[in-house]
Amino acid sequence: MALTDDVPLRTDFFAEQRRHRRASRRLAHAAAAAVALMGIPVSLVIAPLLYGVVLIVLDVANLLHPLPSVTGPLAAAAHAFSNGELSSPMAMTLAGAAVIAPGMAAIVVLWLGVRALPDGDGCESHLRALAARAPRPGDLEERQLQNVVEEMSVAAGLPPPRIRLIDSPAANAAVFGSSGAGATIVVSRGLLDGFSREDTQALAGHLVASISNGDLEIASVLGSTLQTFGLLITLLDAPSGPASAGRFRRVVRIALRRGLDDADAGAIGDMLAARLLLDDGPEPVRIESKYERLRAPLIVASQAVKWTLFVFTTALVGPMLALLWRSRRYLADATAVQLTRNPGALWHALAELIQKGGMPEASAASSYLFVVGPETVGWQRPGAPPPPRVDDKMGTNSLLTFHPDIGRRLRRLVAQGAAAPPPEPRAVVTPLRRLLTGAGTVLVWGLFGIGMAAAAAGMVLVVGVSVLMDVLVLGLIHAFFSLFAA
Amino acid sequence: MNVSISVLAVVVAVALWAVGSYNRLVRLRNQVANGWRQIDVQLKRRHDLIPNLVNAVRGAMDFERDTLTAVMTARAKAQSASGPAESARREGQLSEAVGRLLMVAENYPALRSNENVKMLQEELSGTENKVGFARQFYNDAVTAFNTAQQVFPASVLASAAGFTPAELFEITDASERDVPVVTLAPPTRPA
Repeated sequence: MALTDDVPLRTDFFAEQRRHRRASRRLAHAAAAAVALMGIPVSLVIAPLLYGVVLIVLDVANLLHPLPSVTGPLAAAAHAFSNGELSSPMAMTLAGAAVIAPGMAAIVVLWLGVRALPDGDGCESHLRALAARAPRPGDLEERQLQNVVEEMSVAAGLPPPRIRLIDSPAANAAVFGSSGAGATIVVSRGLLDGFSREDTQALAGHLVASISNGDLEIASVLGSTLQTFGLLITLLDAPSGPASAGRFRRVVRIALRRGLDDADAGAIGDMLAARLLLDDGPEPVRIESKYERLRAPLIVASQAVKWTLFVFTTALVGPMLALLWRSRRYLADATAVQLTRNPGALWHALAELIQKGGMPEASAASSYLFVVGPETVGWQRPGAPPPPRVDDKMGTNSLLTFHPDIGRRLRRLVAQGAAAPPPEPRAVVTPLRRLLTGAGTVLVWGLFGIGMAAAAAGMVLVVGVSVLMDVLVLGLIHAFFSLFAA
Repeated sequence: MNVSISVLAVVVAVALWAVGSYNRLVRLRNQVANGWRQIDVQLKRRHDLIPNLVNAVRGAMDFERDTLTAVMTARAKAQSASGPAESARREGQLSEAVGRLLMVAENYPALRSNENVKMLQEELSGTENKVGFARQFYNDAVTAFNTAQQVFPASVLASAAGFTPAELFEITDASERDVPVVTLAPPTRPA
C-alpha cells in the first residue's frame, strides 16, 4: 500500500495515477466498511429509543381507542428466542435485523437530511471564515492567477472554477465545493506575491487535478457522514442541554428556510468545525424533578454514541480516511504533472512552500483542503523558523495527518522526472539508535493498543448499560400506561 | 443443452464487448471534437487580443514597423487557415511573430513599465499557454482515440463501424519547434 512501500526511482505520471487510484479505491471501500461497522453499536443504542417512541405512541393511542396488544406477541417471541426455541439461522438473522435495522435506517435518513441542508458541504461558511474575496480586476498578479487557473482548466478539459483570494501573507492555496461544477479555488495573497508564474501554475494544476479527480465529491460524502453522527449526538443531547437544543433548533431553522445568512453560515460552520462534537465538553446535566429522570436513558445513550464514535474514529475510521485522503493528494500531484507536463515546477513550488508556506487564519476547520497542511508549514506562527526538512519517519506521516509527508511527495515528483538537487545526506543510524527507535515504536503502539482496548471495553459496557436502561425505563412507562388503561 | 448454453454465453459476451467498445469509441470521438472546439475558442481569443497589443505598443515603437506588420500578417494568415495541420503551421508562425514583438518590446523602458502593456502581455502569454494546453488536451484525446481504434481486436470493429483516425495538431517545421519566450515574468528564480 502507498503508506509502506518505497518510492520508485523512476516512473511516469500515468503509472503513478493508476497506482494511487487503485490504492484510494481500496481505501474507500475499507473506510465505507469501517463506517458501516461503526453504525452497528450506534444502531444498537438508538434502536430501543426508536422502539420506545413507537411503544409510547401505541400506548397513548390505546388509551383513546383500545388496540389489540402488540407487546403480547412480541414478548412471546422474545421468550421463545431466549429459550433457544428459535435458534434457526433465519430467526437469528431476523432478530439481528430487528435490532440493527431501525437504527441504521434512522442514520441513513439523518444522512440524507444533512446532504439536503443548504451549504451542507460548508463551502460558503469556510469562505466566509477565511474572509475570501473576489479578485480585483485591475491587479496584474490576480489577473495572472485567473489566467493560470483557466490554463489548467483548459488542460483538464473542465469549466474554469471560481477564484477567491485571502489577504494573508501565509502562502497556500485550497479548493472548496461539493462537486466539480461548484468548485472554488482559494489562493492567499502571500502565494501570489512570493511565487513565480510557473510555480503558481503548478499549484493551480494540483488543485484543478483534485477537482477533475473527484476529490470534492469524496470530501463531501466524508464530511456529511461525520456530520450525521454529530447531528445524532445533538439530537440525543437536545432534551437535556440548552446548548445542544439551541444548535438543533438552528439546524432545523436553516433546513426550513433554505436561505443562508451570515449567522446561519456560522452555525453550520460550528457544526462542521466541531465535527463529532467530542471536543464540546459535557453538557451540564440538570435533573430537577423525578419526571426529569426519564431523560436519563437519553443521556446514557448520548454518552454511548460518543464513546463509540471516539473508539472507532481514533482506531479505525479516522486513520483510514487520513490514509485515503493522503493517497488522493499523491494522485492529484501526478495528475497535475499530466496537466502541466512540468514535474519540476510542482517540485519547486512544494519545496518553496516548506519555507514560505503557512496556514491562513481560520483555516483549521478546512486545512485538509489546502495544498500543504499544518504538518508541513510552520503551524500558523508567522516569523517562526522554517521547519527542518522532513522525511518519512513516524510522526510526519502519523495516523491522522491529512497531508502526505512533503519529503515523500517531492521524491515521488523526482521519480516522475523533476530535476532536483542531490538529496541531503541522511543522518547515520547506529544499531543502538535503531534499537531505541524500534523499542520506542513498540512502546507507543503497545500503549495505543492497550488504550484502545480499554476504550473499546468501555464502549461495550456503556452500550450495554444504555440498552438495559432503555428497556427498563420503557418497561416502567409501559407498565404505567397499562395500569392506567386498566 | 449445455452446448447451446455455452454458445449463447459466448454470443452474449461478444455482443456486450462490441457494444462496450463501440460506445467507448464514440465517447473518445466526442472528446476529440470537444478538444478541437477548445483549441478553436483559444485561437479566436488570441486573434482578438493581438490587435489590442499592437495598438498599445504602436505609439512607442513606431520605427519597428516591420515587426508589427509581421504580426498582423501572420494573424490574418492564421485566421484563414483550415484543418489541424495547416492551422498548426500558421498558428506556430503567429506565435513566433508575437514572441518577436514581445522580445523587441523589452527594449523599450516606457513599454516595460506601462501597466496597460504589462496586462496585455500577461493576457497574451495566458492565451498562448491556453492554446498550448488546449493542443495538449486535443492531442491526448486524439492519441487515445486512435489507439483505441488500432489495437486488436477493437480494430476490426472500428473499421467495420467506419471510424477513421483523427489528425494530430502538431508543429511540423523544425524552426517552429523553438518555443518563443513570451512571459515577462518576475526575475527568474535562482537555480
